[in-house]
Amino acid sequence: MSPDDPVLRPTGRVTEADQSPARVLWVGRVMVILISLALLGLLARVVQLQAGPEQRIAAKVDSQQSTYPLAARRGTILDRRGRVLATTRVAHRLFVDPALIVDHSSFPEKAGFGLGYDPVEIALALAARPKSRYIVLDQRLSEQRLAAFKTIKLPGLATEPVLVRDYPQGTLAGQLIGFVGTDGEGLEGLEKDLDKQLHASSGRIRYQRDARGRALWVQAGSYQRQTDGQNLRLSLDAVIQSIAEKHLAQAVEKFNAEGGQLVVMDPMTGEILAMANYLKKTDTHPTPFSPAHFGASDPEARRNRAVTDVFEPGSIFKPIIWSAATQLGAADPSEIIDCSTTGVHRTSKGRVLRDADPHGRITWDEVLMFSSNIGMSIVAERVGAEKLHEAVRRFGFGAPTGSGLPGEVGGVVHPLKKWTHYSVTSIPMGQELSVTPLQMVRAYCAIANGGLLPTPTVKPADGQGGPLAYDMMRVLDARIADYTRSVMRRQVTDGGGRYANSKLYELFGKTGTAQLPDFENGGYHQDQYVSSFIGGAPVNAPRLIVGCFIHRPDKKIGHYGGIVSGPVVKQVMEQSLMYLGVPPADDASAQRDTMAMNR
Amino acid sequence: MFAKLLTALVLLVVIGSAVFSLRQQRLELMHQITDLHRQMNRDRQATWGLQVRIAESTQPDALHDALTRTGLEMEPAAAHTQDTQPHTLADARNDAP
Repeated sequence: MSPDDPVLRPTGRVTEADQSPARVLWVGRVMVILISLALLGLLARVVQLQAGPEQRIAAKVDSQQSTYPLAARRGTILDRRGRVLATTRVAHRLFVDPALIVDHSSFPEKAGFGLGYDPVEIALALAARPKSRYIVLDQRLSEQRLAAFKTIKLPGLATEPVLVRDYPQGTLAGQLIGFVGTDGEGLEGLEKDLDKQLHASSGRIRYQRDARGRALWVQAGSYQRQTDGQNLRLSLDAVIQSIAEKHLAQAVEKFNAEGGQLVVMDPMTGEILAMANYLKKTDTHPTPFSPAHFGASDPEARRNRAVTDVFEPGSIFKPIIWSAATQLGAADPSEIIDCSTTGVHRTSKGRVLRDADPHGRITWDEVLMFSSNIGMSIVAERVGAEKLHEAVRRFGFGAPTGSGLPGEVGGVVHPLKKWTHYSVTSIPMGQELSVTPLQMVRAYCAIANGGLLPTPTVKPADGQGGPLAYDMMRVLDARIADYTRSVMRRQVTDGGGRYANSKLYELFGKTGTAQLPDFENGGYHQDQYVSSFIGGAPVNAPRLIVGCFIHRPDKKIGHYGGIVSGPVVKQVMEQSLMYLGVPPADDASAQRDTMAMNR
Repeated sequence: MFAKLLTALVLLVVIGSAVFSLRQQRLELMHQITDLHRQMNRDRQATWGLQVRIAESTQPDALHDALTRTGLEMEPAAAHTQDTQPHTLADARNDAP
């Protein structure tokens, strides 16, 4: 029998077997609809949670997210050889949350003795702000205290990372580099001047956290990258700066002077290799200025006086006028000038001038060698006021040097119409004008490099933010510059600069002992001086110009420029040239070369 | 039909599991990236501190003190070094504008 047999097929009745496919289909459809509805509901919920979650849920979600700032590093200031002069690092700030302290009575003792603070000070700090939950105990924890903090684990005591500016070289070039405020903005010196390049922008990052507060992942679109500041390389050399500062400080203290400046420049490029400032230790500034502790420093001690302060240069100005007058043909090097056997001379305008020692009839060369005021005034009168004024201005006096150093002043050179009949004879002696130490050293660079006046700079031309080329301007004929150097060499070997004469290198230079003007009574103080010496070496191909300026040395100890500043320049020059790898000259060749130049 | 439905459901479960697994892998990867990012940030900041310590230890005075302590007799490099830098008057003159 077959199931298809019509006899066996039931008629008029539907069997269960007949109904099952329809039921399955029906159930399937219902399930599909239900699942679809459930999925749609789920989707709608997801959309609602994403778009506008309820406050209760939103609060829970927010509590599981944390935003952290990404610290950006302010640019590092480096010396010419990559030594770090100023940089930024992460330090730790120590603070107290009084609400978390378990035992208030013993907390100051535990924290104080544990970390090396005075417990009384901690107790006073807590008592001063009883309602505060953030009382800072130390802005910058030392390494030792940070290690101690990690061991004592005292509830209520906590640290937080904070960016601080560090000066690893300590006080080195402090006045030039300057300092930053607590918010990281440059406030003085190069830190202020170069702030735009050094400035850093912090970023932020937003984490999703798990129930235990551990970071899970970064939220999409919630990462803002930090931008570090630009690192800057200066022309300064930390070793030469260190040598300069050491010898300057020794000289100031030895001669019981008020203070001093020392500038070292490369005459071929105008790069400043060292710029030292030193004030005699007093109660107000017992230690040299330190950028890291600028808040506690005396404002007088943090000024970069090599560019901000002026003084009457005195005899160190003579080579400028001497070379200009020689170039103008006002005097021939071998010409005999009558400088009077009495040491007293009356100018054509009736002014009485004196030399410290009577020189009698000497050559124009010897006028510079022996620093004769009378000889200089005689030739200056031949030059005339107009050309003299022009020469002074051409050497860059009366205007800022263009170094761009913060606070730089241009000094004072009176306009020609304000010159009196005294001016023509005062200017050659370095009176009636005021200059900065940097201006003077710069002018000597022109004599050193063959007559080109450089623009001083602390930024080397290395294609990394510095100038593309060094800026030079011809102010002297090369032959005149070379000849002036040879005469200045004799000033060191046979004249007042002999205290700067080196056995290692052939120095040329000029001394200056300028009386300080008396602003109250007019005229000049008889016992207050600026004792200077500017020198260069080696004389045939100068590598460095060093200028030392000591203010108000004690006359009882010594006040002549050659005695006070000459040895400083000699020592700085010798040590710096050794460090730079310049071979010392042997005596025989030194004499031969000097004679050749004189011819 | 039931077999088809079962197959569909099983496939749905498999696909769902695979999607969840991929999602989990993505989250774990993101977590690792975040961890690495935090570690890099910590290391970066640690190098700042090390750089300061190196700079402090190698400052001219510190080196001088160290040499003095060790008693080493150093000769100036100048005695054996030829000055090879182009520092001549002619250079300066030629470079001038």
